[in-house]
Amino acid sequence: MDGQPAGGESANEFRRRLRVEVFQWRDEGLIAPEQADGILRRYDLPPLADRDAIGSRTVSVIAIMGAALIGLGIIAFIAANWSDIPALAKLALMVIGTPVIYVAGWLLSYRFGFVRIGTAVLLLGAIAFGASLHLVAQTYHVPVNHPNLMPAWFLGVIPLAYIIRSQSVLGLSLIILLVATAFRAQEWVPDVLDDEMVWLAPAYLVLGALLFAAGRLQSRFDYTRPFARILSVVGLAVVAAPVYLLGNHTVLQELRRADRLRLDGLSAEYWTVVGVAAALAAVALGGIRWRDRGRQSTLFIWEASALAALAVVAATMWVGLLAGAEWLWWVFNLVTLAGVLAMIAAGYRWNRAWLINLAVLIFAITLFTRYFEFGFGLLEQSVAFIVAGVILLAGGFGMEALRRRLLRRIGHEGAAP
Amino acid sequence: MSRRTTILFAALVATQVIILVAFAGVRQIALSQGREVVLQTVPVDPRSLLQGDYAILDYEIAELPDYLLDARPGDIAYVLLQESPESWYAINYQRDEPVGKSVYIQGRVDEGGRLDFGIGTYFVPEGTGRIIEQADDVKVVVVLDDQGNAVIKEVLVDGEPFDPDRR
Repeated sequence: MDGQPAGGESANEFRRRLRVEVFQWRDEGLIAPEQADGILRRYDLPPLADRDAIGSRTVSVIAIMGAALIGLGIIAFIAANWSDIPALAKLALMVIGTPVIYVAGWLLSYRFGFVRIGTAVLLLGAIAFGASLHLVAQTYHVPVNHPNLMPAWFLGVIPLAYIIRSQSVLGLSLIILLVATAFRAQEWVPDVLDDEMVWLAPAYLVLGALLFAAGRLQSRFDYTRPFARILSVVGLAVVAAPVYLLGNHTVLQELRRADRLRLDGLSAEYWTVVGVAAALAAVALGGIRWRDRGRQSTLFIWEASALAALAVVAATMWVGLLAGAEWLWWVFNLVTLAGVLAMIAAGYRWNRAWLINLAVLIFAITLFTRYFEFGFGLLEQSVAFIVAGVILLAGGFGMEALRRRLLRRIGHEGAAP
Repeated sequence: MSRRTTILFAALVATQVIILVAFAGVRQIALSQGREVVLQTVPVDPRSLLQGDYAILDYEIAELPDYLLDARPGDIAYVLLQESPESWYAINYQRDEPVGKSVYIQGRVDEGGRLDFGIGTYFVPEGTGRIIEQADDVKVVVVLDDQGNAVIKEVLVDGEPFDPDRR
């Protein structure tokens, strides 16, 4: 074959057909798995293990969906506050039920070898723990935004992610953390439903930077490496959200019309959270430097630069909002563009496909919403829709082509967390 | 799973159970040992996605007097209570914790300039919030500990304990 397709068949069609054939030859015993891998490698195709991995991943996804549904069912049961069972009996049921779920998950995972199903059941245990906390609160008429509820759920669940090394439990923990901060945010600004809410933007940017820094630090250790990507992705998404918000011209116009924003209304808890998050991000950066000691680490320089840039962006937010500068919207759109380009460059340089995917997603969302923000004032509505559609199709095609080209190149070199 | 990981896992599960029992225990002890007072309230009826239907209880004693109107959100204030035949009412508001044998409740100033005593919600079975909302008179039996922290014991609807089956 010499790597060339037969007459009329494109290179991609040939490679696709060859991959299917090799799987079948392997399954039929015509060739050994090592030989199959050798053939696939010769044509730059992913190894056989990937197909098994996809199968395992499918089992995981289905099991996690099942656990999430059961978890939601438990939460809905508690929310219904069914009066036929006494509150204390429900409480006893949950206090006993949560460890029972954990033990079942543990047995499935580590005694009977059903690791993926067992992990999903352990995830269900983590959800049941949170549901139990809310049931206790409900029994004593403590509201859902009680300052201790969500933090207690988060602190009770986050160690589980690292003990059983479960990305799904870590994902749940991060969701709980973000919800917990949203509940606490009402204590950070004088009125969370008023213009002062915008002060949450720089605070969340710092929190996102901390998650990103934690992800980069954890990529340096074998034990925590599986968590690096999810922490980094969530961190960057949390960073992107406030930058995106302040890139909205309408938001800044509204703020300019309002009374001048002042810092003295922000609570001590606000500054404590910001200060502790910034300090921990700096400690994580120090940890990365320590881990990379004795090596010329250009990756560290990229990471340190990214965190330094985020510190500058956060400072710009505080100063700009304090000055009531309406022109900030284009500064933050430029920041988004610079960030997207930096993420694509970093993804390309360091073989991180997820970074490129995230950058493309942020760019697409920003482009889409900014177009509608400014398009309607200039064009008739129908024309705006058509033009937007054409721009998105053409832009999407271009971005997808770029993404594929980058990912193909990365695929050849192997991805990293 | 290694022995060390198994121990860590077991410790974590035990910790979660302790958190649950402690969270309930603190309130159960307050309910059994605290001072009972009855407070007048005006409820409305929203819903929590995580905890279901509940009534928001807006207490008469939550309104700050003129001499404390400069209080900022988050500030702590104490309300000294006096018993009357109908319910307990406020006789004084102060920033410092009262001393002596007086009965008082601790509150935190909210964004609306009223006191939040941490007893502003009363969870009810699904679809029964209207019983409270449509009542002519709603009072709350509250138990106070030595520091003025409050836990709801029950809600009195038109003089009777709340009954979700009274539809």
